[in-house]
Amino acid sequence: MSTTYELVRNQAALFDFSSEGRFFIRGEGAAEAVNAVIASDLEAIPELKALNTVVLDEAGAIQAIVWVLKTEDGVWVLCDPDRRKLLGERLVASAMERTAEVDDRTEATLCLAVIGPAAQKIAMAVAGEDVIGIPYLGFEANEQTDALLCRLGYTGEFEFRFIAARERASELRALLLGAGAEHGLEIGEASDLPLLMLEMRSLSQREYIPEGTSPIQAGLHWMIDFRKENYPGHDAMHAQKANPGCKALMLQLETVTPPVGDQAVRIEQQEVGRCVHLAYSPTLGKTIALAYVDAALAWVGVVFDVAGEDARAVSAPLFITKTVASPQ
Amino acid sequence: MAGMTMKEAQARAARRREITKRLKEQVIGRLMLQLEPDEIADDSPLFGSGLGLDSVDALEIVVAVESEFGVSITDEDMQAFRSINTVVDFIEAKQEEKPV
Repeated sequence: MSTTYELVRNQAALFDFSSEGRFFIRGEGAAEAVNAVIASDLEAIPELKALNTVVLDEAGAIQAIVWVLKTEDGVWVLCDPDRRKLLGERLVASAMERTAEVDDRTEATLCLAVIGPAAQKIAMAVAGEDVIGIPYLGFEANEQTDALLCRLGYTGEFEFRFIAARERASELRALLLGAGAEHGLEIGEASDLPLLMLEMRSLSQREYIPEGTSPIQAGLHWMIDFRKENYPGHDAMHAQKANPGCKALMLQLETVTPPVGDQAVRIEQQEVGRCVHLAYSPTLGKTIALAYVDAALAWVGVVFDVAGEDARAVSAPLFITKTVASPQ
Repeated sequence: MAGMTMKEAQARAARRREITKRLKEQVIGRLMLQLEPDEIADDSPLFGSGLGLDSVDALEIVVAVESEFGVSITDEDMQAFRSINTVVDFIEAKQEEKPV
């Protein structure tokens, strides 16, 4: 078990997400400009509430998975580092048609995240007692840390992100590590996050979503507002929802050593899907996989053949985390 | 050769599809969600970023599951209510416990 995995599941780890894209869209038409690009409806959520949604192309393929944070002054849009250029172009094109300006604040700001069951206590120690009142998908301008404090996350554990001016990186990192020392806080390896996400059926775009995949195929329906009328990919989503062709499916193998390489998913030697990732889950003590499987067979309880091993389709999340199990 | 036969897999898929569809229809009806069954992913989180339900909604789902599937649910069972799929797992497990 990696140190980072152990920390995130049992204590807390500190991650530097500063390389992720951070855009701030302001102006009278800011919300409209962002709404024209995303598949969820920004108008349907209140201020100080975050949306986890997708930016699609016209064919319905996922271009970027984004967090959208609606504030009184404008809208933040956060994305993976490798989607920054594409997302920036989409946002700028939309803003030019409206009364809005896009400010790429990636270089001017930093983003530090504390993730784990102890993350709330650590965030409270540096940002004040009010932290306990921040719901999941909530955020606030925190005076004590002079940062935008967001409660987001994909791992099933508490995750508090601090977005602040880049020149404050050392100070904020020291503050968090100091407050977190009694909770065992250490710096985590971001490369361990995809496994922690997959156990909760959250999908890292880079690791688990092949190019050309739609949110319906990936099982990310909740990132779409099906009642929204105009957004890129709208027609494709409605055409595909009844018959996506293939669906992402969580598989569990009894083996502790994951089969290596690109693995087919078979029934009676007939290929019915492909695994995009196989990994050992320390919590389960078994191998887990994410596979894209013929939709007619992609149902929990079906047992496939992966590399000669039984691979049972299972429900997600794969287990209940300490954060969820403990009273909040 | 590992895994099920095609016939077994198709039968299993059909059974699971039927229960999942019934559950989604109950959830949509009880909570008056502006959604169709195939607009809800089977692993959609019921709370938070998924369907965005709250504890009151959870009680409605309990009533729906009890009446539609004839199973009883305790407070401790509520931990299973994380996604549509985990609720279906719960229903199937309870149905298997029932004497024939």
